[in-house]
Amino acid sequence: MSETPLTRLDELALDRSCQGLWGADAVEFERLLRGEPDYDAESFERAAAAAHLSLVRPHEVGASLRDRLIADGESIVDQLPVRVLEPTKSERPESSGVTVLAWMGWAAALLLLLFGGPASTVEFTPTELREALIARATDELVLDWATTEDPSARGASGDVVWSSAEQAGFMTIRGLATNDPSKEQYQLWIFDGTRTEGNSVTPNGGVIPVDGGVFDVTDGEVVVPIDAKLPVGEATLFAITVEKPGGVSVSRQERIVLAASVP
Amino acid sequence: MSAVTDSLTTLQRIAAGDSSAVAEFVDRYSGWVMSIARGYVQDLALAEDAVQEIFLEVWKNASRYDPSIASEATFVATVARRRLIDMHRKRQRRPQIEAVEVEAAGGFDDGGIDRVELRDEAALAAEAIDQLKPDQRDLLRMWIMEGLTHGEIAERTGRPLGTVKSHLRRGLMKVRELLGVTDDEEAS
Repeated sequence: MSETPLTRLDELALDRSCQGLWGADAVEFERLLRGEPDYDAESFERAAAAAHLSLVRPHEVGASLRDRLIADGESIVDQLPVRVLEPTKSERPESSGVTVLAWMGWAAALLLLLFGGPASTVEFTPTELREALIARATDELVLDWATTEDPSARGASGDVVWSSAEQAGFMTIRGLATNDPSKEQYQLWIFDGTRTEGNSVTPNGGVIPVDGGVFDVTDGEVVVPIDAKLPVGEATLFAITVEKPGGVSVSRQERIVLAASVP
Repeated sequence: MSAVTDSLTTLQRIAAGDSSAVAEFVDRYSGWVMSIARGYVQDLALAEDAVQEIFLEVWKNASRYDPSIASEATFVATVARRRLIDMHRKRQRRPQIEAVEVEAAGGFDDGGIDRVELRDEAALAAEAIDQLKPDQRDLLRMWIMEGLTHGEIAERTGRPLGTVKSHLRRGLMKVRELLGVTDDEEAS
Protein backbone atom coordinates (compact mmCIF):
# COMPACT_ATOMS: atom_id res chain seq x y z
CA MET A 1 0.00 0.00 0.00
CA SER A 2 1.41 3.36 -0.97
CA GLU A 3 2.68 5.66 1.72
CA THR A 4 0.81 8.85 0.96
CA PRO A 5 2.33 11.77 2.84
CA LEU A 6 0.09 12.80 5.71
CA THR A 7 -1.05 16.37 5.80
CA ARG A 8 -1.23 18.24 9.07
CA LEU A 9 -5.02 17.94 8.84
CA ASP A 10 -4.68 14.16 8.43
CA GLU A 11 -2.46 13.99 11.50
CA LEU A 12 -4.88 15.96 13.62
CA ALA A 13 -7.89 14.01 12.35
CA LEU A 14 -6.15 10.76 13.17
CA ASP A 15 -5.24 11.94 16.65
CA ARG A 16 -8.73 13.24 17.23
CA SER A 17 -10.23 9.87 16.34
CA CYS A 18 -8.30 8.03 19.05
CA GLN A 19 -7.34 10.41 21.80
CA GLY A 20 -9.32 13.58 21.18
CA LEU A 21 -7.92 17.03 20.57
CA TRP A 22 -7.66 19.91 22.94
CA GLY A 23 -5.92 23.23 23.32
CA ALA A 24 -3.88 24.48 20.39
CA ASP A 25 -4.37 21.25 18.42
CA ALA A 26 -8.15 21.57 18.59
CA VAL A 27 -7.99 25.18 17.45
CA GLU A 28 -5.62 24.31 14.61
CA PHE A 29 -7.85 21.40 13.55
CA GLU A 30 -10.93 23.59 13.35
CA ARG A 31 -9.03 26.23 11.40
CA LEU A 32 -7.66 23.73 8.88
CA LEU A 33 -11.03 22.02 8.56
CA ARG A 34 -12.75 25.27 7.68
CA GLY A 35 -10.35 25.59 4.76
CA GLU A 36 -11.30 22.17 3.40
CA PRO A 37 -15.08 21.87 3.60
CA ASP A 38 -15.13 18.58 1.67
CA TYR A 39 -12.69 16.89 4.01
CA ASP A 40 -14.25 13.82 5.62
CA ALA A 41 -12.83 14.07 9.13
CA GLU A 42 -15.34 11.53 10.43
CA SER A 43 -13.85 8.85 8.18
CA PHE A 44 -10.98 8.54 10.65
CA GLU A 45 -13.43 8.05 13.49
CA ARG A 46 -15.23 5.38 11.51
CA ALA A 47 -11.93 3.65 10.78
CA ALA A 48 -11.03 3.69 14.47
CA ALA A 49 -14.50 2.42 15.38
CA ALA A 50 -14.30 -0.45 12.90
CA ALA A 51 -10.82 -1.30 14.12
CA HIS A 52 -12.05 -1.20 17.71
CA LEU A 53 -14.87 -3.61 16.91
CA SER A 54 -12.40 -5.96 15.29
CA LEU A 55 -10.27 -5.98 18.43
CA VAL A 56 -12.89 -6.80 21.04
CA ARG A 57 -15.81 -9.08 21.55
CA PRO A 58 -19.08 -8.29 23.27
CA HIS A 59 -19.12 -7.91 27.01
CA GLU A 60 -21.90 -9.29 29.11
CA VAL A 61 -24.64 -6.79 29.90
CA GLY A 62 -26.70 -7.25 33.04
CA ALA A 63 -30.48 -7.41 32.97
CA SER A 64 -30.79 -4.18 34.94
CA LEU A 65 -28.76 -2.18 32.42
CA ARG A 66 -30.57 -3.83 29.52
CA ASP A 67 -33.91 -2.82 31.02
CA ARG A 68 -32.70 0.76 31.51
CA LEU A 69 -31.46 0.99 27.94
CA ILE A 70 -34.71 -0.34 26.52
CA ALA A 71 -36.80 1.92 28.75
CA ASP A 72 -34.78 4.96 27.65
CA GLY A 73 -35.06 4.04 24.01
CA GLU A 74 -38.76 3.29 24.05
CA SER A 75 -39.45 6.47 25.95
CA ILE A 76 -37.70 8.58 23.34
CA VAL A 77 -39.01 6.66 20.35
CA ASP A 78 -42.57 6.67 21.62
CA GLN A 79 -42.50 10.42 22.05
CA LEU A 80 -40.61 11.44 18.98
CA PRO A 81 -42.77 10.49 16.00
CA VAL A 82 -46.06 11.20 17.72
CA ARG A 83 -45.04 14.69 18.59
CA VAL A 84 -43.31 15.37 15.33
CA LEU A 85 -46.16 14.20 13.19
CA GLU A 86 -49.02 15.41 15.33
CA PRO A 87 -51.01 17.86 13.27
CA THR A 88 -51.37 21.32 14.77
CA LYS A 89 -54.53 22.25 13.02
CA SER A 90 -56.68 23.52 15.86
CA GLU A 91 -55.72 27.16 16.10
CA ARG A 92 -54.03 27.71 12.82
CA PRO A 93 -55.50 30.35 10.53
CA GLU A 94 -57.35 29.27 7.43
CA SER A 95 -55.47 29.08 4.20
CA SER A 96 -52.14 30.15 5.58
CA GLY A 97 -49.25 29.30 3.30
CA VAL A 98 -47.65 26.06 4.38
CA THR A 99 -44.06 25.44 3.49
CA VAL A 100 -41.67 22.65 4.20
CA LEU A 101 -39.47 25.11 6.04
CA ALA A 102 -42.25 25.92 8.43
CA TRP A 103 -42.70 22.26 9.19
CA MET A 104 -39.02 21.77 9.69
CA GLY A 105 -38.86 24.67 12.07
CA TRP A 106 -41.73 23.24 14.04
CA ALA A 107 -40.11 19.81 14.20
CA ALA A 108 -36.82 21.32 15.28
CA ALA A 109 -38.54 23.22 18.07
CA LEU A 110 -40.17 20.02 19.28
CA LEU A 111 -36.89 18.22 19.26
CA LEU A 112 -35.35 21.01 21.26
CA LEU A 113 -38.05 20.46 23.84
CA LEU A 114 -37.62 16.70 23.75
CA PHE A 115 -33.91 16.59 24.08
CA GLY A 116 -33.09 19.85 25.73
CA GLY A 117 -30.18 20.36 23.39
CA PRO A 118 -29.42 21.97 20.11
CA ALA A 119 -32.02 20.85 17.64
CA SER A 120 -29.45 21.05 14.89
CA THR A 121 -28.12 17.66 15.94
CA VAL A 122 -31.40 15.94 15.10
CA GLU A 123 -33.21 17.08 12.04
CA PHE A 124 -35.87 15.38 9.99
CA THR A 125 -36.43 15.87 6.34
CA PRO A 126 -39.96 15.67 4.98
CA THR A 127 -38.93 12.38 3.40
CA GLU A 128 -37.93 11.00 6.81
CA LEU A 129 -41.14 12.25 8.35
CA ARG A 130 -43.08 10.58 5.55
CA GLU A 131 -41.28 7.30 6.19
CA ALA A 132 -41.97 7.65 9.88
CA LEU A 133 -45.65 8.04 9.21
CA ILE A 134 -45.72 5.00 6.93
CA ALA A 135 -43.83 2.97 9.50
CA ARG A 136 -46.11 3.86 12.37
CA ALA A 137 -49.53 4.20 10.82
CA THR A 138 -51.71 1.16 10.38
CA ASP A 139 -54.27 2.76 8.09
CA GLU A 140 -52.11 4.66 5.66
CA LEU A 141 -53.21 5.21 2.10
CA VAL A 142 -50.52 5.43 -0.57
CA LEU A 143 -52.03 6.63 -3.83
CA ASP A 144 -50.33 7.52 -7.10
CA TRP A 145 -51.10 10.89 -8.62
CA ALA A 146 -52.95 11.01 -11.91
CA THR A 147 -52.31 13.99 -14.16
CA THR A 148 -54.92 16.14 -15.90
CA GLU A 149 -54.76 17.95 -19.22
CA ASP A 150 -53.40 21.07 -17.53
CA PRO A 151 -50.02 21.98 -19.09
CA SER A 152 -48.40 22.33 -15.68
CA ALA A 153 -49.04 18.65 -15.00
CA ARG A 154 -47.43 17.30 -18.15
CA GLY A 155 -45.06 14.48 -17.15
CA ALA A 156 -45.77 14.90 -13.44
CA SER A 157 -45.87 11.92 -11.09
CA GLY A 158 -45.60 10.98 -7.43
CA ASP A 159 -47.92 9.87 -4.69
CA VAL A 160 -49.88 10.98 -1.70
CA VAL A 161 -49.67 9.30 1.69
CA TRP A 162 -52.46 9.85 4.20
CA SER A 163 -53.38 8.39 7.56
CA SER A 164 -56.83 9.23 8.92
CA ALA A 165 -55.85 7.91 12.34
CA GLU A 166 -52.85 10.23 12.47
CA GLN A 167 -54.61 13.00 10.54
CA ALA A 168 -51.31 13.48 8.76
CA GLY A 169 -49.90 12.85 5.35
CA PHE A 170 -47.39 13.82 2.69
CA MET A 171 -47.41 14.56 -1.00
CA THR A 172 -44.51 13.45 -3.14
CA ILE A 173 -44.47 15.31 -6.43
CA ARG A 174 -42.10 15.06 -9.35
CA GLY A 175 -42.18 16.99 -12.57
CA LEU A 176 -44.97 19.42 -11.75
CA ALA A 177 -44.29 22.87 -13.21
CA THR A 178 -42.38 25.22 -10.94
CA ASN A 179 -44.66 28.03 -9.73
CA ASP A 180 -43.96 31.69 -9.05
CA PRO A 181 -45.32 32.16 -5.50
CA SER A 182 -45.95 35.84 -6.16
CA LYS A 183 -48.41 34.92 -8.92
CA GLU A 184 -49.90 31.54 -8.05
CA GLN A 185 -49.55 28.63 -5.67
CA TYR A 186 -50.63 25.04 -5.56
CA GLN A 187 -53.28 23.98 -3.07
CA LEU A 188 -54.32 20.53 -1.93
CA TRP A 189 -57.92 19.55 -1.39
CA ILE A 190 -59.07 16.44 0.46
CA PHE A 191 -62.54 15.10 -0.25
CA ASP A 192 -64.03 13.59 2.88
CA GLY A 193 -66.65 10.89 2.44
CA THR A 194 -68.00 11.34 5.95
CA ARG A 195 -68.91 15.00 5.55
CA THR A 196 -72.67 15.40 5.26
CA GLU A 197 -74.79 17.87 3.44
CA GLY A 198 -75.85 20.99 5.24
CA ASN A 199 -72.56 22.22 6.43
CA SER A 200 -70.23 21.12 3.73
CA VAL A 201 -71.83 21.49 0.36
CA THR A 202 -71.45 24.17 -2.21
CA PRO A 203 -74.42 26.14 -3.52
CA ASN A 204 -74.54 23.88 -6.54
CA GLY A 205 -74.63 20.77 -4.40
CA GLY A 206 -71.00 19.75 -4.61
CA VAL A 207 -69.09 18.59 -1.57
CA ILE A 208 -66.70 21.14 -0.12
CA PRO A 209 -63.35 19.49 0.22
CA VAL A 210 -61.05 20.09 3.15
CA ASP A 211 -58.24 22.54 2.53
CA GLY A 212 -55.01 20.52 2.65
CA GLY A 213 -52.61 23.46 2.53
CA VAL A 214 -50.87 25.73 0.07
CA PHE A 215 -47.42 24.91 -1.22
CA ASP A 216 -44.83 25.68 -3.86
CA VAL A 217 -43.04 23.39 -6.27
CA THR A 218 -39.40 23.67 -7.19
CA ASP A 219 -37.34 21.69 -9.65
CA GLY A 220 -37.00 17.98 -9.09
CA GLU A 221 -38.89 16.10 -6.41
CA VAL A 222 -40.65 17.76 -3.54
CA VAL A 223 -42.15 16.10 -0.47
CA VAL A 224 -44.78 18.33 1.11
CA PRO A 225 -46.50 17.75 4.45
CA ILE A 226 -50.29 17.86 4.23
CA ASP A 227 -51.80 20.55 6.39
CA ALA A 228 -55.47 19.62 6.63
CA LYS A 229 -57.42 22.53 8.09
CA LEU A 230 -60.25 20.31 9.30
CA PRO A 231 -60.42 16.72 10.53
CA VAL A 232 -60.79 14.26 7.67
CA GLY A 233 -63.01 11.30 8.46
CA GLU A 234 -62.67 9.25 5.31
CA ALA A 235 -60.54 10.58 2.50
CA THR A 236 -61.97 9.65 -0.88
CA LEU A 237 -60.10 11.91 -3.26
CA PHE A 238 -57.05 14.18 -3.18
CA ALA A 239 -56.80 16.96 -5.74
CA ILE A 240 -54.25 19.70 -6.32
CA THR A 241 -55.41 22.96 -7.85
CA VAL A 242 -53.65 26.15 -8.94
CA GLU A 243 -54.83 29.13 -6.91
CA LYS A 244 -53.90 32.71 -6.16
CA PRO A 245 -51.00 33.31 -3.71
CA GLY A 246 -52.03 32.24 -0.21
CA GLY A 247 -54.72 29.90 -1.51
CA VAL A 248 -58.48 30.16 -1.27
CA SER A 249 -61.17 28.99 1.13
CA VAL A 250 -63.35 27.54 -1.59
CA SER A 251 -61.79 26.60 -4.86
CA ARG A 252 -63.51 27.12 -8.18
CA GLN A 253 -61.41 24.17 -9.33
CA GLU A 254 -60.66 25.83 -12.63
CA ARG A 255 -57.20 24.36 -12.80
CA ILE A 256 -56.83 20.89 -11.32
CA VAL A 257 -53.37 19.53 -12.04
CA LEU A 258 -53.13 16.28 -10.08
CA ALA A 259 -55.62 13.96 -8.46
CA ALA A 260 -55.50 10.70 -6.56
CA SER A 261 -58.64 8.71 -5.92
CA VAL A 262 -59.14 6.12 -3.19
CA PRO A 263 -60.21 2.87 -4.88
CA MET B 1 -45.08 -3.82 8.86
CA SER B 2 -44.98 -2.20 5.44
CA ALA B 3 -42.59 -2.81 2.59
CA VAL B 4 -40.91 0.47 3.45
CA THR B 5 -40.07 -0.54 7.01
CA ASP B 6 -38.96 -3.98 5.86
CA SER B 7 -36.15 -2.32 3.96
CA LEU B 8 -34.99 -0.19 6.88
CA THR B 9 -32.19 -1.05 9.26
CA THR B 10 -33.01 -1.44 12.94
CA LEU B 11 -31.77 2.07 13.65
CA GLN B 12 -33.79 3.50 10.80
CA ARG B 13 -36.87 1.78 12.16
CA ILE B 14 -36.17 3.41 15.51
CA ALA B 15 -35.77 6.79 13.84
CA ALA B 16 -39.09 6.13 12.13
CA GLY B 17 -40.78 5.64 15.48
CA ASP B 18 -40.88 1.86 15.61
CA SER B 19 -40.38 1.22 19.33
CA SER B 20 -40.47 -2.54 18.77
CA ALA B 21 -37.01 -2.22 17.26
CA VAL B 22 -35.49 -0.83 20.46
CA ALA B 23 -35.02 -4.13 22.33
CA GLU B 24 -33.63 -5.76 19.22
CA PHE B 25 -31.14 -2.93 18.84
CA VAL B 26 -30.13 -3.03 22.50
CA ASP B 27 -29.60 -6.79 22.39
CA ARG B 28 -27.53 -6.50 19.26
CA TYR B 29 -25.18 -3.71 20.31
CA SER B 30 -25.14 -3.23 24.07
CA GLY B 31 -22.49 -5.91 24.57
CA TRP B 32 -20.22 -4.24 22.05
CA VAL B 33 -20.73 -0.83 23.55
CA MET B 34 -20.05 -2.19 27.02
CA SER B 35 -16.86 -3.77 25.75
CA ILE B 36 -15.72 -0.48 24.24
CA ALA B 37 -16.65 1.38 27.42
CA ARG B 38 -14.68 -0.98 29.61
CA GLY B 39 -11.56 0.00 27.72
CA TYR B 40 -11.97 3.53 29.02
CA VAL B 41 -13.72 3.08 32.35
CA GLN B 42 -12.55 0.65 34.97
CA ASP B 43 -15.44 0.84 37.38
CA LEU B 44 -18.38 -1.31 36.26
CA ALA B 45 -21.06 1.06 37.57
CA LEU B 46 -19.43 4.00 35.81
CA ALA B 47 -19.10 1.94 32.65
CA GLU B 48 -22.81 1.12 32.80
CA ASP B 49 -23.62 4.82 33.21
CA ALA B 50 -21.43 5.54 30.21
CA VAL B 51 -23.22 2.90 28.15
CA GLN B 52 -26.55 4.41 29.10
CA GLU B 53 -25.37 7.87 28.02
CA ILE B 54 -24.03 6.45 24.77
CA PHE B 55 -27.33 4.80 23.92
CA LEU B 56 -29.19 8.02 24.67
CA GLU B 57 -26.86 9.71 22.22
CA VAL B 58 -27.56 7.00 19.66
CA TRP B 59 -31.36 7.33 20.06
CA LYS B 60 -31.12 11.07 19.64
CA ASN B 61 -29.02 10.78 16.52
CA ALA B 62 -30.76 7.80 14.98
CA SER B 63 -32.12 9.90 12.15
CA ARG B 64 -28.60 10.89 11.17
CA TYR B 65 -27.57 7.33 10.49
CA ASP B 66 -26.84 6.76 6.80
CA PRO B 67 -26.33 3.10 5.84
CA SER B 68 -24.54 4.17 2.67
CA ILE B 69 -21.72 5.61 4.78
CA ALA B 70 -21.23 3.00 7.50
CA SER B 71 -22.76 -0.10 9.01
CA GLU B 72 -24.92 0.29 12.09
CA ALA B 73 -22.21 -1.32 14.19
CA THR B 74 -19.62 1.20 13.03
CA PHE B 75 -22.05 4.07 13.58
CA VAL B 76 -22.76 2.92 17.13
CA ALA B 77 -19.09 2.35 17.87
CA THR B 78 -18.24 5.79 16.50
CA VAL B 79 -20.79 7.45 18.76
CA ALA B 80 -19.57 5.39 21.70
CA ARG B 81 -15.91 6.18 21.18
CA ARG B 82 -16.54 9.88 20.67
CA ARG B 83 -18.54 10.03 23.86
CA LEU B 84 -16.00 8.04 25.85
CA ILE B 85 -13.06 10.08 24.63
CA ASP B 86 -14.94 13.25 25.51
CA MET B 87 -15.86 11.94 28.96
CA HIS B 88 -12.30 10.85 29.48
CA ARG B 89 -10.92 14.27 28.59
CA LYS B 90 -13.38 15.97 30.88
CA ARG B 91 -12.25 13.83 33.76
CA GLN B 92 -8.68 14.90 32.95
CA ARG B 93 -7.20 11.59 33.77
CA ARG B 94 -5.96 8.58 31.94
CA PRO B 95 -7.95 5.34 31.77
CA GLN B 96 -7.01 2.84 34.41
CA ILE B 97 -6.06 0.15 32.04
CA GLU B 98 -4.36 -2.20 34.44
CA ALA B 99 -7.58 -3.54 35.90
CA VAL B 100 -9.65 -3.48 32.77
CA GLU B 101 -11.02 -6.81 31.71
CA VAL B 102 -11.78 -6.24 28.09
CA GLU B 103 -12.21 -9.47 26.22
CA ALA B 104 -9.97 -9.44 23.21
CA ALA B 105 -11.19 -10.80 19.94
CA GLY B 106 -10.51 -14.35 18.97
CA GLY B 107 -13.11 -16.98 18.42
CA PHE B 108 -15.93 -14.46 18.71
CA ASP B 109 -18.28 -16.20 21.06
CA ASP B 110 -21.17 -13.99 20.09
CA GLY B 111 -23.76 -15.07 22.61
CA GLY B 112 -26.57 -14.81 20.13
CA ILE B 113 -25.60 -11.43 18.79
CA ASP B 114 -26.15 -11.05 15.09
CA ARG B 115 -22.70 -10.85 13.63
CA VAL B 116 -23.66 -10.26 10.03
CA GLU B 117 -23.33 -6.52 10.28
CA LEU B 118 -20.06 -6.64 12.13
CA ARG B 119 -18.44 -8.76 9.51
CA ASP B 120 -17.97 -6.15 6.82
CA GLU B 121 -16.14 -3.12 8.14
CA ALA B 122 -14.72 -4.74 11.26
CA ALA B 123 -13.41 -7.61 9.18
CA LEU B 124 -11.75 -5.18 6.79
CA ALA B 125 -10.26 -3.33 9.73
CA ALA B 126 -8.98 -6.60 11.17
CA GLU B 127 -7.45 -7.42 7.82
CA ALA B 128 -5.68 -4.07 7.78
CA ILE B 129 -4.40 -4.51 11.32
CA ASP B 130 -3.12 -7.98 10.45
CA GLN B 131 -1.00 -6.43 7.74
CA LEU B 132 0.85 -4.30 10.27
CA LYS B 133 4.07 -5.32 11.93
CA PRO B 134 3.49 -6.89 15.36
CA ASP B 135 4.90 -3.96 17.32
CA GLN B 136 2.92 -1.48 15.25
CA ARG B 137 -0.17 -3.57 15.85
CA ASP B 138 0.37 -3.48 19.60
CA LEU B 139 0.76 0.28 19.57
CA LEU B 140 -2.42 0.68 17.59
CA ARG B 141 -4.33 -1.50 20.04
CA MET B 142 -3.29 0.74 22.92
CA TRP B 143 -4.32 3.81 21.01
CA ILE B 144 -7.66 2.51 19.82
CA MET B 145 -8.80 0.41 22.76
CA GLU B 146 -7.46 2.45 25.65
CA GLY B 147 -7.36 6.00 24.36
CA LEU B 148 -3.79 6.51 25.47
CA THR B 149 -1.97 9.51 24.08
CA HIS B 150 1.17 9.30 21.98
CA GLY B 151 3.22 10.33 24.99
CA GLU B 152 1.67 7.73 27.27
CA ILE B 153 2.23 4.98 24.72
CA ALA B 154 5.82 6.12 24.23
CA GLU B 155 6.33 6.07 27.96
CA ARG B 156 4.81 2.65 28.40
CA THR B 157 6.65 1.02 25.52
CA GLY B 158 9.94 2.90 25.76
CA ARG B 159 9.71 3.82 22.09
CA PRO B 160 10.70 7.26 20.79
CA LEU B 161 7.74 9.62 20.66
CA GLY B 162 8.24 10.34 16.95
CA THR B 163 8.25 6.64 16.10
CA VAL B 164 5.08 6.07 18.11
CA LYS B 165 3.29 8.93 16.39
CA SER B 166 4.34 7.73 12.96
CA HIS B 167 3.37 4.10 13.59
CA LEU B 168 -0.01 4.99 15.04
CA ARG B 169 -1.01 7.45 12.38
CA ARG B 170 0.09 5.25 9.51
CA GLY B 171 -1.53 2.19 11.05
CA LEU B 172 -4.91 3.83 11.34
CA MET B 173 -4.47 5.39 7.92
CA LYS B 174 -4.08 1.89 6.53
CA VAL B 175 -7.31 0.81 8.19
CA ARG B 176 -9.08 3.82 6.76
CA GLU B 177 -7.75 3.13 3.27
CA LEU B 178 -8.88 -0.48 3.40
CA LEU B 179 -12.33 0.68 4.42
CA GLY B 180 -12.47 2.48 1.12
CA VAL B 181 -11.81 6.10 2.00
CA THR B 182 -9.06 7.53 -0.13
CA ASP B 183 -7.81 10.99 -0.76
CA ASP B 184 -9.23 10.75 -4.28
CA GLU B 185 -12.66 10.00 -2.85
CA GLU B 186 -12.41 12.96 -0.54
CA ALA B 187 -11.48 15.24 -3.36
CA SER B 188 -14.45 14.18 -5.47
